[in-house]
Amino acid sequence: MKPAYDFVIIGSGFGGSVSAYRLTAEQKRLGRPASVCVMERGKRYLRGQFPRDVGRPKDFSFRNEGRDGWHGIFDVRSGDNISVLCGAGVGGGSLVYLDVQVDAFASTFDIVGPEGRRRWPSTVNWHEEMPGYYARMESMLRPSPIPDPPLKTIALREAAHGAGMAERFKLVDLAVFWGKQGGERGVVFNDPYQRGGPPQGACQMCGECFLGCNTHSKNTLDLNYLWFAERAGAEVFSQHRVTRIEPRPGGGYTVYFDDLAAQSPGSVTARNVVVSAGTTGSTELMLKCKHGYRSGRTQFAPTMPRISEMLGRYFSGNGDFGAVAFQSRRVTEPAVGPTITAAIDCRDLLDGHGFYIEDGGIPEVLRANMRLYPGGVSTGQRVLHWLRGLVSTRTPASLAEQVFDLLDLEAVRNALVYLTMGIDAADGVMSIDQAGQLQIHWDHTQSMRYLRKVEETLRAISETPVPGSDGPGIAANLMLNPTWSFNKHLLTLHPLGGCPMGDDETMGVVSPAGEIFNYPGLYITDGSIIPTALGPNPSKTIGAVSERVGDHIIAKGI
Amino acid sequence: MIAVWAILGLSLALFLVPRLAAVWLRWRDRAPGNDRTLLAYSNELPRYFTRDAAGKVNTAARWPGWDAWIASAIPADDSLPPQLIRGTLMTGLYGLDGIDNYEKLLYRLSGYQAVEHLCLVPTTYQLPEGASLVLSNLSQNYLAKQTDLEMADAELDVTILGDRPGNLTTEEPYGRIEGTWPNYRLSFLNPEAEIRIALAYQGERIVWWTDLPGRYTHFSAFGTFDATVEYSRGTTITDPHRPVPDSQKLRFQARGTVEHIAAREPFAFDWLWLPMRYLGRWFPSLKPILYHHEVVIGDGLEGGILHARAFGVDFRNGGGLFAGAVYHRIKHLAVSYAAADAIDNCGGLGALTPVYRSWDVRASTDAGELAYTATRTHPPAMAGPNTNQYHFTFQGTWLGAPLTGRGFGEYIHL
Repeated sequence: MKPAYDFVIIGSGFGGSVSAYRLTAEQKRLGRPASVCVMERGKRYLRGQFPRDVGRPKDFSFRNEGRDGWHGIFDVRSGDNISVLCGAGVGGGSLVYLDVQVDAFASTFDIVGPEGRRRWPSTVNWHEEMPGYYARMESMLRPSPIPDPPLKTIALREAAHGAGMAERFKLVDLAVFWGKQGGERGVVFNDPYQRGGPPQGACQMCGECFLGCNTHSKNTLDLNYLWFAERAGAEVFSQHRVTRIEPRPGGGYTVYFDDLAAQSPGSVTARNVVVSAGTTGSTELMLKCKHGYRSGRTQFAPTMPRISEMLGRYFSGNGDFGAVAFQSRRVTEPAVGPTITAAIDCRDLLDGHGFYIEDGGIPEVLRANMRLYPGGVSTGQRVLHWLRGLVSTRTPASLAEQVFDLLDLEAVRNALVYLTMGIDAADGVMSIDQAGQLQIHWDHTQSMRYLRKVEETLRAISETPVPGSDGPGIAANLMLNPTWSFNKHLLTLHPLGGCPMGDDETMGVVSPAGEIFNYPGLYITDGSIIPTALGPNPSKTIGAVSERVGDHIIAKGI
Repeated sequence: MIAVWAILGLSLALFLVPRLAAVWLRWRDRAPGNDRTLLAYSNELPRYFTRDAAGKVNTAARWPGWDAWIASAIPADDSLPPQLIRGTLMTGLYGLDGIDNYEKLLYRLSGYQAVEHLCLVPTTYQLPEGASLVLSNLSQNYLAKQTDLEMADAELDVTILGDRPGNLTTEEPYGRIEGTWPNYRLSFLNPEAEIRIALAYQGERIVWWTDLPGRYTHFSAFGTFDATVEYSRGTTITDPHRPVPDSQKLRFQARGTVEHIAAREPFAFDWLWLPMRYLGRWFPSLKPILYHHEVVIGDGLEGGILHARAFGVDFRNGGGLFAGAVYHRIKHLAVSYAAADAIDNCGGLGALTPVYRSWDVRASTDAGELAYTATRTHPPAMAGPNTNQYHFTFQGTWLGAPLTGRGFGEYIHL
């Protein structure tokens, strides 16, 4: 790593990768040497390297700030009434996201929050500007609907039909490579999009999108934006976790980091810094810079106290709400196919601030684990069969049946998993404790109207017709996310807000161009600057907003 | 010293056993002398099963082997959306992962407790603005023999049941074959692609691949199909985002085969293969089994080739052709493989599996040579990690005269 760069980018997800590519490409276009450094806290995963061995939990979980070997691919943060799951690795959240590329609801950009403020900056005509940036995302990520939908997709279509919502059903655009003809499962192509990209395999329908796509069928950011940025000269450093940012006298910033692989601290300076560590990561970092924190016996003083008081506000889980329709009358095989394939589009409900109901999947972790070993799946099958015989001879045979039904995911072979997302109130607050650890406070009160409508709709599509009667539908039993039913606690994969955009520092943390008020040359671009829920899966909008921020950085002069 | 002798002994056994087995197979094989137009009743009936005390087929017991009936039909009109219909009903598994697809086997079932249903319908779909999309439409299911197989023993009537895709309260036949030579009725369901198939078959003549009584019997009976195929979602895609029900029923004539394979259990040798799997991790190019079987249907010529090789020894290298009513035995076969697709089986960093897109065949008969270049027409349909089933077109010569046609086949290399 060089001691200084023009740009240091913190994080490699939908904000960081887009910025890295646009900035490096612009430097190249101007004939200047690339001077872009990307720091990512997670590891780099090549094709086939995503973890599957369930005996190695540290490969799956990013905990303890990445120390003691806990530098896995998932980072779970638990807060009041809501938990957040994020990805860690070169490519950021794209490694574990569920491929969906859908525009935000148009009504989103006009949302007025419960506090009575119009959330999105009024100085920008978002309706006019965003389509161009969405198109850029599409040209890079090449989303398209699945050409050969699996059984769970057909089940969702039937569910919509049963509830009289057939016209709302549609296959969603997925950033997945299906093959050149379409449906060429598993076939590996060198540079499939013929633009100098890496080899990718066509989707095998293995249902493991969520665990990291081992065939590189998912168009994750390390295969496009970041791939091209690196080829243009950007330097990407994995397992580098940024701890704080400090303005330098005379301009520029010093970025302090821990090298998790070498287990040593370091620092680098930059004229400009782009913070793209994700909603939780960026907000936590900025809160530490604004308020200071204690690490062990060392107290770090605030480095950027003039950051807006709006820091930490407008947290949203993007209305994420999970449910399962059990005992449906259709075969669904939720372990087959991309995790999400289709949606029931209810955006027009709730005065135009509705929701999207998508089918979900369940990755078959046991089978994926058995594939790793030399004996492969067949040997694992024989061992399991031997164990089954052993259990049967020592216990009632029905117990063995039940155990193996569980292993076979028998209870969900006719279950339809729902992943719902939509417009919640986006009124959560993030803060840090003395040790600089993020705290998330979310109250569902203002979002109850939304949640009740979601539940009502899920019940209609799941439980029609009533069991025993004829007619279209899947006739299932709906089970809501149990943590919600018992404890009013939700899980979100799509955290947003915390460093919201605003017209000025009383309205937000960053300007519509992503620049932090009072700190020139310091930008944030990721989910944290989105001031509301977006409706459907937010990655496309986060990427598009990052494209816009990149344009403004370039226009300002690099 | 003992270890050295053990290694030498094992090496000698690996060298000698396949060669002696190949000699024994040639000596015992009755295929060359079997009738080519009449099929004995015993050859169409299931051969390996057991009966319960009441004398009925006992699907709960472990059987000494398995039977498979495979229908393959190529529409006479090559402009129709379906390029091939291939349906398989198996009363057991081959017993070797790679040929079988253990990924699809439920944990509660052993290889001896499963039956296989396979339905492959490579189809060309029309997209807006003149574009097209080719999908393999492969549906493969391993179901429980005890509950999902219905089989008569005194007549050919075999049904594999599956969960009715639209309503689990009743089961639905995923595949069925019934009838007597030369007339069979078959039906298949592809639940994923929502395709239903009904075939009325009239057999004409038979190519015998192998007939080892009590061990392994395999023939393909060529004939004509009256086919009805119903695509619940149609074959014209007006909006790729909305696979709406738009049923399309096609009725057409097709040419193809009905195969019957009957094999004893020694073919269930997956556990013996474990050392090879370990070696394969270290030496990915080590693939001692090759099986390439395909059937060609051309202008006035039909028949097929079979190349089966294990540990460097050819167990089968030949086939048979009917030129009109005249049968020509293929005595030697040479296949050279050209362009290939590489398949990633989600197996982590394991080697990719090559699946050929085109290949050249030269087959020698006493009358002369059949030579053709074949090209697969649809994406690989992997019925196992190392098993591809395919439809192809070919161009070549028969006795020096130009020949074009289509065919279907199965390629295994592990």
